[in-house]
Amino acid sequence: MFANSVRAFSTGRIVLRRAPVAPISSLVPGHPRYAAKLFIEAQNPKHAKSIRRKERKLQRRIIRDVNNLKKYDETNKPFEVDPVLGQGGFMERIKREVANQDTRLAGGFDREEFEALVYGAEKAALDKAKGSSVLHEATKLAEERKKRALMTILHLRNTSVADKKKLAVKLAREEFSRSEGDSGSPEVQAAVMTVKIHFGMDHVRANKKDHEFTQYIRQLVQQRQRILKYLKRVRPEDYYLTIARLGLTDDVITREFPMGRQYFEDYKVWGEKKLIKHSDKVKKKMEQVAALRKKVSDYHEVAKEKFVLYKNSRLEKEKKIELKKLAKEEARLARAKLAESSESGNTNTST
Amino acid sequence: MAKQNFVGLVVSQGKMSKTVKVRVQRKVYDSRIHKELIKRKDYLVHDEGEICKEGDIVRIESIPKISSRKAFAIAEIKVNKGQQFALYEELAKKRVIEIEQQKGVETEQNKSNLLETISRIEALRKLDDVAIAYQASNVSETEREKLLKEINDIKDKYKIKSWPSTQEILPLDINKEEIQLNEIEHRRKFMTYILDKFYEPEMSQKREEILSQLSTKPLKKNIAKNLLRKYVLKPENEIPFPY
Repeated sequence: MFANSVRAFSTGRIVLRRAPVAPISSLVPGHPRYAAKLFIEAQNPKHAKSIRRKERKLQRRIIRDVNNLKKYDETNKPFEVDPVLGQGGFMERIKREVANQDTRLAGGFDREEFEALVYGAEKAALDKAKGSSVLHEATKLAEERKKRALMTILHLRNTSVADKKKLAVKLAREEFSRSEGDSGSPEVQAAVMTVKIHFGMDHVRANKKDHEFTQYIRQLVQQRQRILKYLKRVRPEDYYLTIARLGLTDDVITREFPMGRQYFEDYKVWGEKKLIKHSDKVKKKMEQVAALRKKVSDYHEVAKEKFVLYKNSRLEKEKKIELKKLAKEEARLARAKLAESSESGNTNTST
Repeated sequence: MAKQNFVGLVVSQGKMSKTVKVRVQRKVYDSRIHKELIKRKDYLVHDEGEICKEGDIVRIESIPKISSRKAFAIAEIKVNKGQQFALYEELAKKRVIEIEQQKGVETEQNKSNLLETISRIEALRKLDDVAIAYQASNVSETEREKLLKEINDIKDKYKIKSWPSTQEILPLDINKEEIQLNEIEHRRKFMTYILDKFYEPEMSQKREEILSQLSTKPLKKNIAKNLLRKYVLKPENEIPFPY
């Protein structure tokens, strides 16, 4: 795009013979479209030299602006994913699993095991109450009540967040362990921290003023960064697999990240509210960058328009050449035909 | 004269076309403190194929100047750490998709297992009810036959030999360890018999197979026997003959 813009301005000669892109009234000196105006006025050969100088100056400015913006964007790159929560990854599945009321019970109990055990207890009680049908029915009812009571106690709906977090940590540990019983490898530590961070961010979202807890989460994020950096140093292959599974990216781990107000504002943790009041200096700087961005986008637009004109003119030229060629060919054919007919006429007369 | 040569680390790539930034370190002797200090210099280096990645260690070579700050080109890549990292990243993405699919299958499996257990328990409850109805005194002969058929159907479906039964009908996690312990005790009791059987000529192929799993190197006789003993004492390993 940038290359185009320069080329389009330097091939201004085409524009000389064309109508202006925008009405002259809208062209302000300093605006890139001013260049087009310059080209149009260049029909007066008296000013040709000074205009060319201005054109060169304009070119240099365009290059400078585009490069400045490029540099700014390079140094102020946003993170690829949310540096705290990441994107996708295993946490979505773990959260689903923790909320899965069909197969899981509170306190780390398995639903399948629970059903089997309850049935065993019922069977034992029924065997004891053998003989009378009335006793049988009564025992059955009592056992049914017991089961319902147990289900109520152990239902995931009636558990605390801490219990759910415990289960999530257990699942994460089992999933990331290198071998059975591994609870200390960097992968497991990072996964457990990720679980804690995700559960913690729910709390932070609900309790904006719990600064102490926010600080705890901040420390966890930094600790996770540190341990993953270590993993990158010693086992790079495992590191890339781990961050991909956690839904993080390399830049989130290697770049500096303070979990400050800027983060909470950018990722809308507490809604759309503005959390940072910028100083006049910063505001000015931001305005400057915005203006630069606008300018560069204008350059691009002009360049695009110019490029279309340039392409059209090229096409027209080619068409003209083609037409000329065709005309030549036709003329040649006609001549040949004429020569042939005259020759055949000659032969006819001779016979 | 030989061309100027440096070895350095690629610190920036992808920001300029066909150009990378290479950091070169060298030691300079400081005469004031009589000590060697490390001095760094960053060079902009031409990379025609754009093959370098951040983190590579490269050798750079002097060339005729091609722009105001570029007078070097990449001569060779000594350690392609950066490229390897890029490869790992790509491989990891594929692997994650595989893992997620596998996990999905596992959760489905868990669900179906639970449903199966529940249906089995329901059937057992029904079996109890039907058995009681069968034993009641005021049942006609035709009804009794019907009930008997029902009982037999359930028994066949879940492979129950007798009811009430002594066999394990519902597997429990809390029983698993006990069963394993019993198995270990049993095997320990018959250890000499099992090992003798393993060293019979018809079992030689099976024995070699197991030993090749346990160790890649050729083994001494006594060590092989010890390894085999350890193998037998693990209850999850199957023994290919009755004992």
